[in-house]
Amino acid sequence: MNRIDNERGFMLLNVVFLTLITSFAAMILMNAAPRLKNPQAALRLTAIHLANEQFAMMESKAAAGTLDLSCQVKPEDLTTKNFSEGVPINFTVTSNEKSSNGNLHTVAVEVAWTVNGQDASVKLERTIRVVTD
Amino acid sequence: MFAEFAIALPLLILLMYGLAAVGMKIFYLGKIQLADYVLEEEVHDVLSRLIYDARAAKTVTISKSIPTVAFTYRTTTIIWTKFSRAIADGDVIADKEEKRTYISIADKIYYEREDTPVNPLTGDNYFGSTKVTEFKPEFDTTTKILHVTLEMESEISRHKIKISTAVYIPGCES
Repeated sequence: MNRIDNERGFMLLNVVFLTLITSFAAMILMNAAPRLKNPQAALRLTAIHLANEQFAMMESKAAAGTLDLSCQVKPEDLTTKNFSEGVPINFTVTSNEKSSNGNLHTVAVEVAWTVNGQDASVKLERTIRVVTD
Repeated sequence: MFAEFAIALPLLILLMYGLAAVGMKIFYLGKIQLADYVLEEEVHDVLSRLIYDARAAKTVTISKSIPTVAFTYRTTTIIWTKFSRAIADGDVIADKEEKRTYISIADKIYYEREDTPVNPLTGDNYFGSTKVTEFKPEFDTTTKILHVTLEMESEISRHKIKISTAVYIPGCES
């Protein structure tokens, strides 16, 4: 005859296993949640394209003969709401000259932003030729 | 025996329910994340192609009614008369014009080249269907800078991404 005493151990084991599985699932969930809240990848993409915009402006002025290191990105492009749950995020664009050789200037553009109190930045370099007569 | 069963069954049901709820939540988060990855990838793909094509363009044509940006390139074809490595006297160098177009119709971006059918670049992804909500190319003829703004929305996560960029076209004649 089946006795419940023999099955009590299995029942306890089930409870232990299910608790373990649930806690593992919770751990996975905890890892996934901050990635959704803190979408740095999308902001990095936005920042790279902002840096490209700054480079385009600088190249255009360099073709006319001057190397302008000030921020020339359109002001409305400096604020984004990409994936940030409706909270606007502001970018700051700074550029400085790293080295120059004749009329070739290597310029580094840094785009920085802050999400949830965390600072992040992207730095790109490009060599620009300043046309001189 | 009945008492033990009566205690164990509701416990088991509660545990299974909790497990199912957590599982569904994980599945949902994964779905959203996948849709966001697709959205990011499509925006990046369209913009990087467009910038790459714009850089070497000879002329830029922009249409506002149906957002379109078209580039033309000057290419040459050589008709060889002699079997040689260098260009000989009798060879003909013919100018040829090539055209590439990016069009935004019906929430998608299409890419068109001569002699090829129009290809959609965005949308129709099983994991994250997207639609284009804004595609705005603007060309400044004095500075020779093409500004492009692209906004896309995922139909699954309802997230939006808007990216603006610019490209300097040194060889532009228009």
